[in-house]
Amino acid sequence: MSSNGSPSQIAEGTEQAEDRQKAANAAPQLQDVLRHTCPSPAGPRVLSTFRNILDRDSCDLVWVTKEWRPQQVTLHARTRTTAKIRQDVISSPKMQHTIEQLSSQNEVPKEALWRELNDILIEMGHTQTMPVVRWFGYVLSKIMRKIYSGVFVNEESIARLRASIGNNPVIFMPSHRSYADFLLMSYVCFHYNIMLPVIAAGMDFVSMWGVGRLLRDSGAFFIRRSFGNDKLYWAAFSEYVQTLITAGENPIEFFVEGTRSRTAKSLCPKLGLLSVALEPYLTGQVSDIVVVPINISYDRTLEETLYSYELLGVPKPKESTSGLFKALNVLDEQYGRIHIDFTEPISVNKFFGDLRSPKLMRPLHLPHQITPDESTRIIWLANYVVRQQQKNAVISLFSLAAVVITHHVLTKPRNQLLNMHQLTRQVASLKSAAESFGALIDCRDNLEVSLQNALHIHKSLIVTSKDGQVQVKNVAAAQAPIDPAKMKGHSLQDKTLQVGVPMVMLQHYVNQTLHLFICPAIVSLSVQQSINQGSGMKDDVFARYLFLRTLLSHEFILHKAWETMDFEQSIQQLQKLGVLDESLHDSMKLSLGSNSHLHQILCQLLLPFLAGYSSACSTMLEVPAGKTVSLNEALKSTQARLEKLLLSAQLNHHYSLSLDLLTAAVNSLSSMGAVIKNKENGKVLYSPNSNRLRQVTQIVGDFLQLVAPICRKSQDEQARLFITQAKARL
Amino acid sequence: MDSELHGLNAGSDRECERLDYFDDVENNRKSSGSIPLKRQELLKWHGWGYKDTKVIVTQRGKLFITSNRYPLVKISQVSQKVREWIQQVWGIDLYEVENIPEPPENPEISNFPGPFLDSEFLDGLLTLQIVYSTDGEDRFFRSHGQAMSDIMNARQYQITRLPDLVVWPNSHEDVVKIVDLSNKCNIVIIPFGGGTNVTSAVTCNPNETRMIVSLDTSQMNQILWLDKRNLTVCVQSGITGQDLEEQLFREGFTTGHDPDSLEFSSVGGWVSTRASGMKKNRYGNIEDLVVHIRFVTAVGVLEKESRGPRISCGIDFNQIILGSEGTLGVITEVCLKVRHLPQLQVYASFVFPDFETGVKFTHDVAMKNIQPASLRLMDNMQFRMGLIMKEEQTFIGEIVDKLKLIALSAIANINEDEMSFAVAVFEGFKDEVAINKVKIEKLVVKYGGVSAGAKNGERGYLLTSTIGYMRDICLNLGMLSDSFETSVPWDRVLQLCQNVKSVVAEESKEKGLKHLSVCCRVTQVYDTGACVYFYFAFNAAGVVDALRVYEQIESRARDEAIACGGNISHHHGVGQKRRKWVPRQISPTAVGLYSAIKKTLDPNNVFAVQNIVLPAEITSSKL
Repeated sequence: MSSNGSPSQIAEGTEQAEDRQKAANAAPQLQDVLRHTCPSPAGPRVLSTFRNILDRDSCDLVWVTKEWRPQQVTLHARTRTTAKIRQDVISSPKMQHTIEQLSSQNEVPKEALWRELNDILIEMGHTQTMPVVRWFGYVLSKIMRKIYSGVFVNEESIARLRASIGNNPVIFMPSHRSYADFLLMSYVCFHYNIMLPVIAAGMDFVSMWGVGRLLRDSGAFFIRRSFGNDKLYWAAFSEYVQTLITAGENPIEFFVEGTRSRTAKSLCPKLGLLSVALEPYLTGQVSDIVVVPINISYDRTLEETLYSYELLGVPKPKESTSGLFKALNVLDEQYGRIHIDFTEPISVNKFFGDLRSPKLMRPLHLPHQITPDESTRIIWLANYVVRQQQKNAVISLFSLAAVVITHHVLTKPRNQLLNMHQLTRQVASLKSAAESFGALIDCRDNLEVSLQNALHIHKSLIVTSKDGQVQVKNVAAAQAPIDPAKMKGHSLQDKTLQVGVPMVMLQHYVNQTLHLFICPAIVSLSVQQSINQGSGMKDDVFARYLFLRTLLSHEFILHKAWETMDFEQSIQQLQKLGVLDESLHDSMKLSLGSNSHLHQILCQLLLPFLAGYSSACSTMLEVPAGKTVSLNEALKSTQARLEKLLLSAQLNHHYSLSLDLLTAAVNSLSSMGAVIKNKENGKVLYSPNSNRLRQVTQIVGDFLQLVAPICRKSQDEQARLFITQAKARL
Repeated sequence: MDSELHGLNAGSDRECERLDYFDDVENNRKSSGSIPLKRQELLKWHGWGYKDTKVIVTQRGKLFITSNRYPLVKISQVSQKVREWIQQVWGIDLYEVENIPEPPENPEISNFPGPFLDSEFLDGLLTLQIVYSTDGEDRFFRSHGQAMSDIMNARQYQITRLPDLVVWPNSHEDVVKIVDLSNKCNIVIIPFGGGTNVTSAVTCNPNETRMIVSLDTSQMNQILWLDKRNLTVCVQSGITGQDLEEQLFREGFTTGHDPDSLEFSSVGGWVSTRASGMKKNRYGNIEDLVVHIRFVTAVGVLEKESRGPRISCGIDFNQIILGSEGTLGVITEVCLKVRHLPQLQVYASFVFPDFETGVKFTHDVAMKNIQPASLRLMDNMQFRMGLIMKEEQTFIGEIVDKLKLIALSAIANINEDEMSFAVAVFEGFKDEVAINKVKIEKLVVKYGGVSAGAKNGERGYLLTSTIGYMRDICLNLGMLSDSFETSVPWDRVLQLCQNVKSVVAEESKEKGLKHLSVCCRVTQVYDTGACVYFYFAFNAAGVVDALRVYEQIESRARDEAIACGGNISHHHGVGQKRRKWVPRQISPTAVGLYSAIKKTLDPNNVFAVQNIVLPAEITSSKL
């Protein structure tokens, strides 16, 4: 280990170390800004401020036909027609300039470009119309009443939002776990008389007959998923977004994660759309922009099974209307509650500390060039937004149960089934741990009843037998056979899928808690390893923590600037919980406390990640010197390697097979300099940087050793812990 | 208290003696200026303008002006509609505001601190036989400008340091002698012209340990000569715009320089603050009008040896006099361009559907280079504020007005709550004006605007002269209100206006202000951009430390204006109010350059009025 250098040195190339230094230098100053901008709410969040908006006095028909007098977003807002917006984009200085440039560069007549632009804008544009919104709202009310037991909105956060609307353009940034997010946001805004958002959506919906039109009429505008070097499209898209910002008639809404998170963990924020949306502020066209991160927490995700298959590499069906109708069988199921919380609105001007300078200003027809300073802050803001979303989640009891159940399945011998009593006890202790990490847990009645209700909603995945045994159900059995040719990753064996699908589904809910536990888990594991190696000194722990944090930075929201803050907080929390020993007086030396059970659970949470990353390392190590592999090849062979490990009982967590996880692993290795990313003919290829990769592999392996379960079971043995779909029906 | 009275008495004695001498000189004068040596005889101590002129609100919202100086707006009636609107915006019912408390006519003498006098300097002045005074009132009148904060401080006697002595030179030579004497005796000079600055540009440094002399140029008010063949006039720097124009008018000439403060501001003040006139489109701003300047510095007189129309002789050092704001020396004589009086002057006014179309119109006027002598565009709120000063309507008149509004909304799709209002002045030969007018009117139609007549245009301009008086009645009513201005490229005019308004609204909300108004107008139309004026007012009732709140909000608004591509000032200047923005605005190199100039021209810091650059930045400068 010592010969390999310290973990933190290996974690980063020199450049990255410099970046970190820079970020650290900027940190105190920005921390001040943040503290100033975003005072934490007066008291802890409580469930009592959440109100079920489906539970209203008026009937749905009266509700959807109410007088529509929304709160204005900005002082100067004027409602524009679709045609006027298009006109404004076309006549904007930037668009005119782009067309002139493209015309002379590519020797295309301007008229052709104007026509093309017009077509792009028609394809893109939203056509929000209240009658459609109302009608749609009516149908949604009916559907939601059927499948959800409530849509709970934090009314305190609504009041706070209202108070900050009125002078500046507003951007809503909800978390994105489900297609339902699109509709929910507008639904909530309608309910509270807040101007309906205009929503950036992916182009995939447009091809769905009727649905594209319906979403358009409800206020969605559509952006192609990739438009590479299409300058005209890029200009049209950015001008469209910016005219929405500068005119300030509607809030604009987009998902900073870029796409639905299949894993239920927050995705690393995408900066493109955010940068475009902030440009009017950076160039002094608006005085400020109010960014409102929003958390939408689902008890049960509509797409849970679908996601599970997708993560394992079974292709996602193309969005189609008939597919949608097929999906309507979801209407027969129960999906529990939804919680929505609008977090503290962020003033971009305050967050950025006003970097704007006329010196840097160019005429408005030229595109703005983002300065390094601006870029640092945009990254910071994006990460902050996601963190705010996480902090304001409402965690369902089922997520905690999922942690306990997974832990049980992985660690206990096959004949030892989990009973309801044990589950309740363990969930209770996990709940108090989660609460000490700042979580708001959806537990309205006494724990036992609430837990039973929560399990009931997930009865398709978890079954409680009459004698109180809790078992995972084999959901995969009921699915149609999968054509191996369509597999996105390695063609997994049927029996792997049978255990894998439910385990990945279960992990979907475990993941919902990970933003709470990730830093404490990393710290716990680092402490344990440091002690095992005879140190336990805080510096040594920090170095190990830093390695893991860097390794997992593509997996979790672990912005560099927060590394020290997170570390100190985690230590404090862990000491309070007895995971770390509090009594020792030497503040520079850490040791484990009495709560070894929680320590074990926390460390275990890292298992699927470390296992997946370790295999990814091994796969990359096998790439011969001078050879390269594509991402897809790397994923496939890593999955294959993992499947072997699973079959031979050297590994028993199927979530390691997740393509999202393995992609993050490759990206992470690439940013750590352990693999080298090359672009050849527009294709991205990877090759190992052997020395560094060997070091990383070694360190990851060392960590993995510590979390590998005490009790190893083969996949077959594990499968016996499950009851199959068929059995459940009996 | 004793010393104060002593100082006062001592001052009075000397003053009487000197005033005799003054009368002798007076007999030899060609004309006397309209500003007397004792400003307090003519002007208010607690606000803007003439003592005899104030706005009075009587029962049921009748407003009238107590003098006949502004005939067109003498009497006005607040309509029911405006009353309700004002009530909503300002929280004040103009129909119910009788007996507005008002400051006393004369300031309380006992509130003035006594002067600190340097006997060597006094002896020197006696020898030079130059009129001076150490009277408290004289000193008080020259201790502040006309910014709202200045007036508020004056009203509350919050001005901690007054000039110790006021001196009235009569000529360039007098000034040279005074500056020499001051330099020798280590005395501070603060040049004082019309006293209309709104940047705290004559405020004494409270920590100044030396004697401070206010050098009042008001008695240097002569036209030295008028050269009709070369179209130039040479004046002493203390002459006010009004006096100069009156005398030129009699000869058939005008400078065409017409700032809003024309009645009181002086030529020297224009030059030292880089002033701008309403009709700059035709005549140019002060820097375009100046042909020659005599500038007395502590190390000698700075002037060119040429009266030619233009000179290429290295750097033009007139440019360090223009905008020097009294920190480098005293401007004593200025030679300005003049023109023959225009054959015709015509006012006009237009309404546009909203501010945005109005801005597009003014922009297009600039694009086509068809600017009338003056063109201004008010936003909706400013237009409606103007309606406070509207003539009383007869019954028939009211009906006609209503019909006009209905017609406007029906035919031109213009409604009262959105429209913007533009006023224009055309000047020149008849045919020239006619052509210009036609072009403008065509453009108005293109932007969906409608002509609103000449009389409204003239009223629009006249109202500008009464804004100072309105500001004062606002203060009496408990409204803090002031203006600030900026200039900005065309492509950012509209956004700057919107953003500044948003910021003011947002800050006001944060500060818990309930009743406020912020409005703007485009007052100058350049080829490359525009000058924008903002008026911000709020009801200070119940607001703790309201003046500071005002300044914080204004400061944020100015930050925003700069961030949006504007600048710290189009023509008001820096003074002591806006120094903090200067380094960023002109670069630290330029601050170093200024400091070097300052150190060269004024090694003993005689002109220690701390305008433009913070003193610490001068000391720390390495140049």
